[in-house]
Amino acid sequence: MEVLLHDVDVLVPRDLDEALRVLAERRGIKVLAGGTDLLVQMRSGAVQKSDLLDVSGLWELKYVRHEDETIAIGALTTFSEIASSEVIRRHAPVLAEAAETVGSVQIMNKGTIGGNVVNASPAADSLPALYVHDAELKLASLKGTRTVGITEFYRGYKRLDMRPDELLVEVRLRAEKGGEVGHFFKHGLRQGDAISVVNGAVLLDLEGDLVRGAAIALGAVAPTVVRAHEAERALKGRRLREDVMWEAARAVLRSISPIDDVRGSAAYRRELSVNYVFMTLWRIAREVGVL
Amino acid sequence: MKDRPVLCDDKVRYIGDPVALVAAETREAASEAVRLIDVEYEPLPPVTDPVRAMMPDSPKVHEGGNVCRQTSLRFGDVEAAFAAADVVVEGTYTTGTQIHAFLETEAGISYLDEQGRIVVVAGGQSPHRDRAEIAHALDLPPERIRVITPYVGGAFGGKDDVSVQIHLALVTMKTGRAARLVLSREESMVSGTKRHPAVIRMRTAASRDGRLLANEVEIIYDTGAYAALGPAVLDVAIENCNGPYRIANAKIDAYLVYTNNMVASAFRGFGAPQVLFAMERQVDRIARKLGMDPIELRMINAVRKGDVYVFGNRMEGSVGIYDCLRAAREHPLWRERGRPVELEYPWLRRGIGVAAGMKGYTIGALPDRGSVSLELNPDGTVVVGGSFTEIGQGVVESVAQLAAELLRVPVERVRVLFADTERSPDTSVTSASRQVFLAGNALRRAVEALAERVKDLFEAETGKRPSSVSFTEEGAVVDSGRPVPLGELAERLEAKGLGRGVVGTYEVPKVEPIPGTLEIPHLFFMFGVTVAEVVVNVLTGSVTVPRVVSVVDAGRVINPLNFTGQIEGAVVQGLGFALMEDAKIADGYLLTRDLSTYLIPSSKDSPRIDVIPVETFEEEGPFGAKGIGEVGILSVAPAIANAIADACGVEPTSVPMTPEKVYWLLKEAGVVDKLKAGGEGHG
Repeated sequence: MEVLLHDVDVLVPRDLDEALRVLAERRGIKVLAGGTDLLVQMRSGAVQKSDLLDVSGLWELKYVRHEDETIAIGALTTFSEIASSEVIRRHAPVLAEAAETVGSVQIMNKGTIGGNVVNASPAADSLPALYVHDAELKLASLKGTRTVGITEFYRGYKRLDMRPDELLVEVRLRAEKGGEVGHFFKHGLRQGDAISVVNGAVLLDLEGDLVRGAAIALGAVAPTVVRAHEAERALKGRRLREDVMWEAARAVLRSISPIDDVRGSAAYRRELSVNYVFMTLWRIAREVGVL
Repeated sequence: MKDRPVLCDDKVRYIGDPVALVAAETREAASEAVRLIDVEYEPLPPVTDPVRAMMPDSPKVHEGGNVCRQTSLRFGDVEAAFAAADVVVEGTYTTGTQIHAFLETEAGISYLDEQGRIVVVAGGQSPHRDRAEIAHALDLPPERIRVITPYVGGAFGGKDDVSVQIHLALVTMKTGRAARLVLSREESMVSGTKRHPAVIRMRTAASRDGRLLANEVEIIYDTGAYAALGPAVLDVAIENCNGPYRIANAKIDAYLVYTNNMVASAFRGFGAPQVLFAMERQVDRIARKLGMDPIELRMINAVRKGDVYVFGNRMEGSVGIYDCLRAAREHPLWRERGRPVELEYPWLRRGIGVAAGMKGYTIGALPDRGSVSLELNPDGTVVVGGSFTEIGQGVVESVAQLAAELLRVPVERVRVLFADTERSPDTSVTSASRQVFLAGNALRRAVEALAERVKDLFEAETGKRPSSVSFTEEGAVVDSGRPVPLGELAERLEAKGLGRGVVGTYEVPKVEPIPGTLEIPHLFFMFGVTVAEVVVNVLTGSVTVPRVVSVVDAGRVINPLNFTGQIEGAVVQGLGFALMEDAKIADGYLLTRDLSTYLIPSSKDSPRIDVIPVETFEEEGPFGAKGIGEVGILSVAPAIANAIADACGVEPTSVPMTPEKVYWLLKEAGVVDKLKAGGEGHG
């Protein structure tokens, strides 16, 4: 039955300092950013009802900055802002593509990148892009600030390297270099907004048709988003031809462990993982004119 | 069939069965009270598969057994026809549980009025019948109840059965206080009625020259825990399972089966889309076997006005299927289907499919009548009253237009009072694509009654009864006198004490039902043809539909905008049925309880739709109009399936054709591996 949220206390901090103070003092309080996941989960009972710290008004955490080789994104930046950011479209287009398919316009306007990261759904659309861009997460608390790599941040299904008194304040990505080209992909069960059955990102560093470097990440096929290292190895140092693409695509099977759920069977997810990686490699090859 | 308790006592048959009703001052208090209710359930083995439910050793959902209704019909000499056939095609087809997913969930309010009557204001499709249901359940005289159906935010048949009405009235009866009940989306998904999931086996015979000779059909519809409108739905399935074709020999065995699944009842198409999916797949497979153009084959067999149809019934109403097929054949999408089209990626395949559909409108051989009131006001306005409900289809506007046309007044002068048992006469149920036909015809009778009333007036004034009354823009012309404006007429009627209001009643012509059926045959049918273009991604199974052409035998179109809107909506709902609306049910539990897991088409999934009316003239209809509410959905799923077959050479047999199902079909047929081997299509 639907859980009513009428008796939940919602605290609205004046600034980041106050937010961190509340987190340090009120154990069990949950952080509300866009609310597009959290409120749905509380209402359905999937997440224990608790008091909320509404950080959505902390404007100092809404920004996109290009700092040398790094893109710094404030945790409360919405997907609409990310999708339309010139900096991201130019230096991390894979993330811009992912942001555009996160959900409906309404969801894009409310949902934040920080929320997507901390909610830790294995199907979260922004995560594969963050994985191939070697993202780092900046966590703040009254005790100070620390930075964690995205792969270390996720320790298992919805298990995070994050203390209850910490707040994710910034997501930092490596900007795309010259020669790099990539795409996000997503399999939903309809053309309009849908939760991913499988998603992922491919980022290649190419010199002509020679693959100098490859980063491939897949979502919704394991307890966390995974990097497909075997597939990456199968590409590195090789020329981007169809047989190589299929070989690399098939190699993703060694990195994933999908399950059956209401959106699709494990067997279907395995097929999709292979086929989407192939299709994405093929698109990249055609785009750079080596096919 | 009254087999469904308002509140269950000792047996619960599905997850949406109500066991208790809580009324409270606040939502929070109600929620707390519900939490405190303890129900002790003794679990019974669930009956979830309608085929297994029919076996004698199956646990029983109702005391009388799981076969709710069964009927077997035979026409012609089926064995001889099969023996003489050149081609026989056989298939088993399944279709899924479609959920109406209307914008407004089942909702309403109730209160006692100043006379102590219980007033229920709720979404519905038939205020007079809802009132009768409430009165029956609560053992009250109908006069103690008033039902008002305001503008309803979508119904599609899903509000044809009572939902919240009796519960609301019960709370007001017990407490004397106003009540409000609005189902959450999840509650609506779980407790509301659905489209019958179906298993259909079909064997169809044809001659070498493409004539359909015989059809052998087994229809199994899962009605869930209760019959609801299932028995009538089964009749519609039987009546349309041979498609709009001249087939002389048919053997039809039909079963309506109880299970512990969710209750199935009315849903746009009312049992026809399932059987038409099967039949139109069969016809396409026959065309392929014979190497014939699928539209040509359908045209050879298309039923014409005056033909005797399979049940021995003569097709007397307008029959536009041949013209629809011809229009589809001439459409560029079909004509140019062989032209190569550049696709973006080598793993995409394009195909074009066609399918035809038919369904009776009005309620067939059952008694069917409706009344409409008409009143003239001294200010020159006209009030039309009827119990038709406005469920988004535009009936109120269409009725106003018809009244304006009949009385020759501007449409702004017509006010429509609708769907209130206290103020509007019973125009019967708003379903079966019939209200323009029914209300329109009743309105015609009302205008005739008004002409008689005008004659009464002149007779009372002059002592001589005039012989003719006609309505013109300037007013009523009596014999050849000066036109009398309607406002003046109203005043003079009032002055003579004759009353300014009349009622017109229309009784739908009908014939006796054929033995073994409830309401077969209808006299009036809708026909349509769908042409669909699909693009299939061989590596994912995703099917997109860039374009659909819907050709509709529309009788005469009353309101072009409403007409197009109805057909477009039906096409998109049909696309949802065909491709994605996938209610996942395990042991009777609905797993897809919200709109993030039960997906309906979004704007991005909606194709470009060309709606093409083929304007036949229905002599019995108002101004030649006929029903069109359901026709657009009937042949969408088979057209898409036939397009997938055209694109990839596989034969879909199961709706919805979700990406995963299509993918495995392609994989089994070797289409995926062939692509992986790099065999074709690479640029």
